Amino acid sequence: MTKQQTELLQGTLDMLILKSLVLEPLHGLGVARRIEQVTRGTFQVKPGSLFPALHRMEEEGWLKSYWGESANNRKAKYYELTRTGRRHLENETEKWGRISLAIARALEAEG
Amino acid sequence: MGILQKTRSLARNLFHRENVERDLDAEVRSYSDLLQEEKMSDGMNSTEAKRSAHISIGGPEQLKEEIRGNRAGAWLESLWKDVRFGVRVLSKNPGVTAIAILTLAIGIGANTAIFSVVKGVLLNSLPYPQSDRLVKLVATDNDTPQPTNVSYELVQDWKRRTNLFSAIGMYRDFPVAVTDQDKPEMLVGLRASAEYYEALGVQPILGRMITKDDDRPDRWRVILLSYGFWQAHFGGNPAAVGQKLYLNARPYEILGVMPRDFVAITRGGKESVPQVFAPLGYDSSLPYACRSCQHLQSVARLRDGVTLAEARMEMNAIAGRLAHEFSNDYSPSFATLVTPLLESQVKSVRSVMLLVLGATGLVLLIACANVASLLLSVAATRRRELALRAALGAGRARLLRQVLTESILLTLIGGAAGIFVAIAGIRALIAWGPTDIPRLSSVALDGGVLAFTIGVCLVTGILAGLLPALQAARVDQREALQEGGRGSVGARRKLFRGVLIVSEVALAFVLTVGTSLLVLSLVRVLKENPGFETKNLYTAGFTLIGPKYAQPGAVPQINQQILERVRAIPGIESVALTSILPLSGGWDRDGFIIQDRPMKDSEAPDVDAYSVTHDYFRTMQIPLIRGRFFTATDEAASATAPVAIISATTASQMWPGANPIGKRIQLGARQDNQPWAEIVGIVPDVHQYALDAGATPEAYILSIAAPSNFIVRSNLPSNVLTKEIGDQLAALDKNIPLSSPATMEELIARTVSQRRFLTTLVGGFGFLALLLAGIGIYGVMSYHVSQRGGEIGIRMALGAAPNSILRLVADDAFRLAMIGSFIGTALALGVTRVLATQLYHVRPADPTVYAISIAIIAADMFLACWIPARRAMRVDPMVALRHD
Repeated sequence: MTKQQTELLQGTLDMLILKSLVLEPLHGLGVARRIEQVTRGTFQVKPGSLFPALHRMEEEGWLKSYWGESANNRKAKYYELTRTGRRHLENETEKWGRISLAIARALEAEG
Repeated sequence: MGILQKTRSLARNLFHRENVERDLDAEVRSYSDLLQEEKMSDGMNSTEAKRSAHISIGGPEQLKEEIRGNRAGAWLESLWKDVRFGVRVLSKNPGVTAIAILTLAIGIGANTAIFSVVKGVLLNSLPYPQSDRLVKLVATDNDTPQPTNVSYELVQDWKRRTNLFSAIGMYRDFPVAVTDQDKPEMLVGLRASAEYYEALGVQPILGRMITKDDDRPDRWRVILLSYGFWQAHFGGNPAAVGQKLYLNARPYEILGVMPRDFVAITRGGKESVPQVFAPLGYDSSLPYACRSCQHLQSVARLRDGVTLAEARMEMNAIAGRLAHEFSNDYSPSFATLVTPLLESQVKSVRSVMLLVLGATGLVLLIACANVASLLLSVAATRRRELALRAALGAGRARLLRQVLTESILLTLIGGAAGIFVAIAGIRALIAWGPTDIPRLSSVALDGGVLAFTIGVCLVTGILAGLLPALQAARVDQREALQEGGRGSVGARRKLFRGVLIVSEVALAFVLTVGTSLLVLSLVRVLKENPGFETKNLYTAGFTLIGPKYAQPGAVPQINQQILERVRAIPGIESVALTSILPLSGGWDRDGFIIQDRPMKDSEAPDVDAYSVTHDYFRTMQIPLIRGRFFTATDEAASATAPVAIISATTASQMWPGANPIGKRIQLGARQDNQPWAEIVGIVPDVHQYALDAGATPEAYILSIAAPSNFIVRSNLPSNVLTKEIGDQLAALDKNIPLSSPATMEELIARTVSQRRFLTTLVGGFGFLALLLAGIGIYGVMSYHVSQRGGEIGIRMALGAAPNSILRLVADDAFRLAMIGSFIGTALALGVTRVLATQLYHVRPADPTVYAISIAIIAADMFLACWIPARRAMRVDPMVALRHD
């Protein structure tokens, strides 16, 4: 995504990253691939957007990081959801649901 | 939770940067490796995979930078980087940096100094509890040029009729001498009612305060000592309390000592800081407590909840009723002024202080422009480095911030240096400033002033950096990275520079015009003839101390002896005594009562009254218009057959078109059982209050008993006269101290001291402004000459006359100066209107002044261009052409 688009959807990106980590911890590339997979290729997160977001969310306390080993025994930095992060994800999901419903209604309305 | 985390991260990012960087590097590399792996498993070979991974990342350094930019404390890191960058740029140009810091030190230092004085005098609250409740009460009417006084009985009238105040205090001077020693020592004292001390809320540090019981005519010989006097005279010994101090040959019991930081409210002036405090000791039975005996001043405390407007309304209503009820004592236009105490103390100096502050502000703006110009000139050094950063992805805002950081750095350093300038400046101001600036004791470089200085530094930094920042932000990366990139960048910089120079010239012009107006005013004031000959005129006061002088006839006798002795001193041409000295800050106004014009005393017009001995007019060299002067015979008979001389204005006001000689008058109140004074002569008016205040109607009564000031015409220096006269007095009676010796010229200088102060300071700043503007033009010119070295070389090689080279180089400067003067004229016409109250017989739009100012600016520009121009003419064509 270009820089402008990233800024517009920063909140959305956060949510996608958190969602992708719900089942298991992943490293940076893994998160990107997961998001791509789950959104059926709509969102292809570039590292320039991904990593700043991951670091920021870690500083906010929603993620925890540690060094581990990848599938092919390479060293990689893994990110894991914290309890605060999970709670944040729940709240944001609910909010997003409400907003999208409202927008959908607005678009359906006459005139 | 979020904040705690964030703070932890912030700390980690700042203090464990190495670890953080290593971790970051590892993460990016790991990502690159994993991506490579992925691509290889998709079928690419290892080289292709590596390259493809690289492209996807977009460059590892940039990715790291992106991540860094978003983490906690990122802004702090980048600010620190900006500061380091700024320091680097500035230290690469030490000459420019030094000039900038010096300029700023002077500009900011001057502003800090002046602001300290303004804050201490005008802004700080008075040092009394709830000082905003304190007011000055003053009686006035249409006939009073300088309302300041009240009378005892008037204050009683107020107390009986209103509940507005919790305390109404009265005070007056108390000039006394300590007499139980070899030579009497004159002291400055204050007599004030118990409610005065109550209103100011002051408590002694030793002993007890004056109470209402002490404040009675039969009991008032008690005093409190000032802290300074207690230290000096009693060595700070607490046993001083309870002792007796002999003042004017009477014993006064010492009740206590005032706190060290107590500032008394007095008549004013540096010389009136009291050393002893006594009760007022009046009551209504005393003859000088009468309603129209207005020689006291009053300070009062409003009750809580009473507003100034309410107080004013009620006091004026009461004044109207009093004028009606006591029409013999209060004139029909009688009114009361209620002024907040702070305002009344500083009213006289407020406009001068604010004008000076304005002038300093203008100088600071010029300094700003110079610094901006200097910052533009280091743009070459900055350009390439900035372009590098722009190429790395720094936005325009970031570049702007970089330059502003640089300029703020300069102003903060300049401001720090300026603090030292300010400290010296404050000391100089207090030492050499006019003697009558009130509240100088509260002037200090305190926290408020420092906050102001920091604020000034920031604002100045932003102002100075604005133009260079805008210029830097437009840097085209590619162009800047090439060697010798000129063209549009150079032209824009030239425009900015031109704008700066034009504004400097305009501001300097305004200050020059202001200075010229003030100097002209001062010269014209000093040229005013006060109505008598001011050279070689010596004045001093004397006091007759001791109960023997209360005997009837004692005072005329001793005064006679004093005059004879002093007249006999060789070198003295003539000597007389007078009750009031002109232009000395004192006055005595009395009702002018004409025998055959019966009217209420309160309706009689006021004149300035003098009691003088017969030689007064000869000594003062006041000529005679009509009639005759007083003679020694008149003087001898003055008790039973008083005579008077009036001034020209009095004559024309009281007897328009008629001859007043022979008419009979009294001053003050009609007393038909006392002899009436016959008018024997008319003299021209004298300026009693100030050279520029115009004359008031005056009347002189011949008397040998009333006056207590010497007026001496002599060529001898004043210290010799003081000694000689002092000796003669001591020979008669050792208890007749001489006080306040001063030549008339010194007294006059005091009356213009504020005007001179304003003129000197504005003039000083005007000079500074011209200097700074000159430096600015010099800088621009030097730059032009060095830039156009090639062009000059070609012209000279082709045989151009040195004059045309000169004109080529000076053309720019001349044009800028002209535009600057034009704008300056428009600005000056608007701005100098605020000077109007300070001008004397000079119009703010006086064309001579503007002509002079243009000439001064032209001279300044000429001087500034001289050196660069000569350098241009001495350019060696061969060198210049090769250099290009």
